[in-house]
Amino acid sequence: MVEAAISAFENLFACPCHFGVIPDTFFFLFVGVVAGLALGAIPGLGGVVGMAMLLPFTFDMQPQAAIAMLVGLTAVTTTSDTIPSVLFSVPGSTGSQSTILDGHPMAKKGEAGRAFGAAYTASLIGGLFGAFLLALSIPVLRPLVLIFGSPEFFMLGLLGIAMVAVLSGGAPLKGLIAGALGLGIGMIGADPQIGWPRWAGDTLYLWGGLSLVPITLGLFAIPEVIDLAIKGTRISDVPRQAMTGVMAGIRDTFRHWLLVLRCSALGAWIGCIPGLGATVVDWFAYGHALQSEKGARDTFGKGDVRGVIAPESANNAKEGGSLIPTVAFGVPGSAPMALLLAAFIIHGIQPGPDLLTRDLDVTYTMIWSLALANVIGAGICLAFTNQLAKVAMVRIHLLAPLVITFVFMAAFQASANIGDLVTLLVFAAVGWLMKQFGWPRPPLLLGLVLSHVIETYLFISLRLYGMEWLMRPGVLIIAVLIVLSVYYGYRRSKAVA
Amino acid sequence: VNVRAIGDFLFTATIVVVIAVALWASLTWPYEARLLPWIIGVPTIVLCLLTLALVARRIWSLEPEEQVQLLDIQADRDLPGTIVAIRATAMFGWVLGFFGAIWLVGFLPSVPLFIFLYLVVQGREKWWVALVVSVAMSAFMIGVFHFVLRVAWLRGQFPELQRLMLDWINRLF
Repeated sequence: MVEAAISAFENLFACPCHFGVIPDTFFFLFVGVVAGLALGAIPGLGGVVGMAMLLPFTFDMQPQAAIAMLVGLTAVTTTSDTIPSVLFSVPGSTGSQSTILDGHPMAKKGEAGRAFGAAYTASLIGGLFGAFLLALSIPVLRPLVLIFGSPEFFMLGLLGIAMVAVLSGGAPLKGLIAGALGLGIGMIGADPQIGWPRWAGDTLYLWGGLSLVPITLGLFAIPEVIDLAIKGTRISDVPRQAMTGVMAGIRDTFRHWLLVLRCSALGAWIGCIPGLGATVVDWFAYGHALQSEKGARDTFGKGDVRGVIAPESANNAKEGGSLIPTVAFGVPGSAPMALLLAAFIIHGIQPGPDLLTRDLDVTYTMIWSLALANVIGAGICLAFTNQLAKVAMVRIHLLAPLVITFVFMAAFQASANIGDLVTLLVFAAVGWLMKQFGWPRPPLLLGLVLSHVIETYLFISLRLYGMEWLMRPGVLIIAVLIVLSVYYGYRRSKAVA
Repeated sequence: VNVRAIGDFLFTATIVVVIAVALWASLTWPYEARLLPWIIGVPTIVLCLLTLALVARRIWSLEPEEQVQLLDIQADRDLPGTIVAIRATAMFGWVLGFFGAIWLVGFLPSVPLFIFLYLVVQGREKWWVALVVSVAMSAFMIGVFHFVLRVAWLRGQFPELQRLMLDWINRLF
């Protein structure tokens, strides 16, 4: 195993070389990282789009170089997606939704540089942790992941919903309603049991369900741009000198190293659960930080750097986690992993036991690529942080039409249908009204992303096990976690009120 | 009366109506399809009515309203409600106008047009600043979305117009 790891590392830096000096595999890894950073920073795009774009270019490449490029791309989209989240309250990808809650208030306070410094460092550590965990856990996690069946997946969905209690702050009633609305909105379209079109009428666009991208952009991005335009100022009103602070952000991350490691472990673990990871991992980490960090109940949501560190470390660690089921069972943990699986097959690599025995060098190429991509990605982002932070000083009337244009383009990429733009507009109005009247928006989003998981796994569990699934040990353990989560959420709301 | 509470009341009442209509529409669905919507919908209506009652109490309350702490980006309450409403209507007007332009003539002509008009009328920028920004932004969008990502552009009701523009851009580069 050690020999395979060393051999894979050497292969990354072995010739044939580009221009006679740059090792082929490393060159393509770098190309993947740069593409991933660019795509991550554009809202609505990200790992899936990047994978789909680069996949055709890998047909004639060596398998190791192809895998390195694709892993490099997907590893860093969650690093650069922080940029629009912090600056404009526009999530760069689904993994940076909760980064908005504290990242954007930090930018408003003139701490965009600090937020970026903390986010990139947390992303780096999280990504490295995910790669490390992947290296360690492939032989160990295989039986553990197999224990999880549909009842446990259903309970994990419920655990996510229980986070609503935590994410509602001082308005638990409105939070619960928002969460339930999210669940209901997630049910629009063909139901997973019999394909009955729920609330879809004759509109074909609604049959496939509403896309997450225009809803997220509508709920958060447009209302924020509108509110900034109403005030008519800059994103940040503080003097230019206060826009530095990258080093402070880096120091913050190391000061909260235990939180980084906890959230990284959480991210890697959630990432390896197929179908659950990408969209909820940041909320889980945010909720965990809120419950476990001292004084978080008073400062979270107002620009607390820990609210940035927690989701950012988790969403990068998630990539390592989602590689585990992809490699070990051929079950993709997320959408980009499904495309990576396609790359495996194109290059004649069989996922499953072969990747843990005969093709172990390919597995270690992935692990090294994941680790190196995180280092390179965070390095590039940190190098340009100060320049990025200055965007917060530009007059909002110059920025507003640009952001609105980008948001419309990003929303349209969800399914290239005008329905995406209508969805964007409807949720922009809903999001702005919710913000004005003190309704928490995160529970709605959480309900939406978990709706399909909950319904699908509930019906599968009932069909397979009747009511006996309720007595499974995994179900009972997660049930205890749910009760604890609701209890802490209730205590928190009482304290805030 | 508390104007913000009236707004909250109307918003909550709208949610109640939407859920009620959604549940009513699901009455004729098969059992499998309507089970979960009803499990979630019925308690949600009860919670909404409870919220409605709590909000109604605030409408005639004479005490100054304290902003509840949320885990969300919260609205600034520095400006009077009427000014916020007027400016928000104007901004939503721009957003709707942009959508209308996209629907009518497609993305490509709408982007420079929207940016230019917004900057001149709403942003009160000099016309040449608006022109430079709108041209630069459009060029960036075309570069990223057309040449690099090769994504679809909504064509609008006059697809020929956008096709001619794309042909011209393709010939240019």
